[in-house]
Amino acid sequence: MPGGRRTSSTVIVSAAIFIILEVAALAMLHSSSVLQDIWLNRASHRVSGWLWSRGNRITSYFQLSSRNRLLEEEIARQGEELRKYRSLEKSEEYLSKAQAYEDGFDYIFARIVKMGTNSQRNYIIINKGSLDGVTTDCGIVTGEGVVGVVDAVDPHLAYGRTLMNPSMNVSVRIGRDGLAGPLSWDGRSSKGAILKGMPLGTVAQPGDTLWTSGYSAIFPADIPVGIVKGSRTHSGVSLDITVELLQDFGSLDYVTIVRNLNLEGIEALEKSMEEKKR
Amino acid sequence: MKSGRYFTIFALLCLAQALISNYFLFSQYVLISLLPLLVMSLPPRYGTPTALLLAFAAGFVVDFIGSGTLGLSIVALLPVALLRLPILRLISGDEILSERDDTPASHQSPSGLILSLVLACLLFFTVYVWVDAAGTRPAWFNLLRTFLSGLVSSILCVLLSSFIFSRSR
Repeated sequence: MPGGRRTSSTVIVSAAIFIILEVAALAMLHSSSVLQDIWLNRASHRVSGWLWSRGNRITSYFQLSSRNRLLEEEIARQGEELRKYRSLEKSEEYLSKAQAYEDGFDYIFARIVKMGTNSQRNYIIINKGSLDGVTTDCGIVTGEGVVGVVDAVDPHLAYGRTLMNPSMNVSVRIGRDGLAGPLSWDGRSSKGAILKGMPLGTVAQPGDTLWTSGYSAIFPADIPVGIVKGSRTHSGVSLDITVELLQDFGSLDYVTIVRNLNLEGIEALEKSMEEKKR
Repeated sequence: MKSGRYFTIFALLCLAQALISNYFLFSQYVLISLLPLLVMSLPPRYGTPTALLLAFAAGFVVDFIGSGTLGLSIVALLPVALLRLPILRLISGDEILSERDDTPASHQSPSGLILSLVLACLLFFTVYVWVDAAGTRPAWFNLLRTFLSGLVSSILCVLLSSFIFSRSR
């Protein structure tokens, strides 16, 4: 083989022969001297330790998605428990503990398949449908707040309006014991909402938290929704309160669907009352 | 240079190195090795794979006959064999490699010959001293040992090269 010609195949062959012969020489050294044996062992342990730690980091990186999902599930589960405990705490003066613990809602964990945030009528599609127990008029929430309401379901998917939709409003209360009113999107930013038509004497300080009131049949009470940013009078007769939503719609991956277990009973009762009025 | 003559020189240098390893131990700071000369004087027609195999054989013979640790000279000599042609090209240009059948020492300028042998010796002793110390000696000792051994061996290699290959010039 000519020494002056450097083709890539020659380089590869040379490198391979070099590595093989060096390994052979190191093996000889390993077996012929105790000192070099210890040194080589120490070096190999260092290298293998380094490789293992790097390997673990890479494995952890690829497990991030599944771990994130587990965390989201855990957050959803704890959020559900927290709401039950809040319900228990709030109603213990009136109800027995057994009654209070059952808040009448079922919680279903789901992943977002598609969600719009850039139009005036934003929607959400989630990966749970009627086969999973999702029905229309189920609420969609996360640990950070309210997301929307289910409008239509098929066996495996559900379609809903998000709070970033003018036709959607949520009954909220200012603070734990304040007045309740309908909160809707301000139509401008993903974090902005407005609580319209509140009485002029309503106490709403900037920084106060808004919670779901529980008056609607869709959302359980005491889910945090937003924070009061300010207020202004409307035509001198009512107060409009500007709100910053807690839910960041730009970073959503998982949600919890809340299904009112008494919804059919409530609707039947409402229907019979309307018929009586007629 | 004919292959037969080169391999005779190769065998004699291996023997000389074995004798030096056994009987000429001046100081713990100075090691003497002719093995870099043996590899660097290989004619360019023998490519890197051949040089690597010859280096392995030479290192094995020297370690086996000499009092050295088996594998130590091989570990240090293989990088010299791997970088033999790049060192020659770097110092003397591509022309030196066109003389395929003769030893490069016959066609190099004196400064080129000295520089290439100094580089080869320093590379050899950098690895040799580092592996020989096996993490038991301080860095300053290893550096001093590498420098002194490289210096003495380079001088010896240049003198020997001038003597052996002078007839070819």
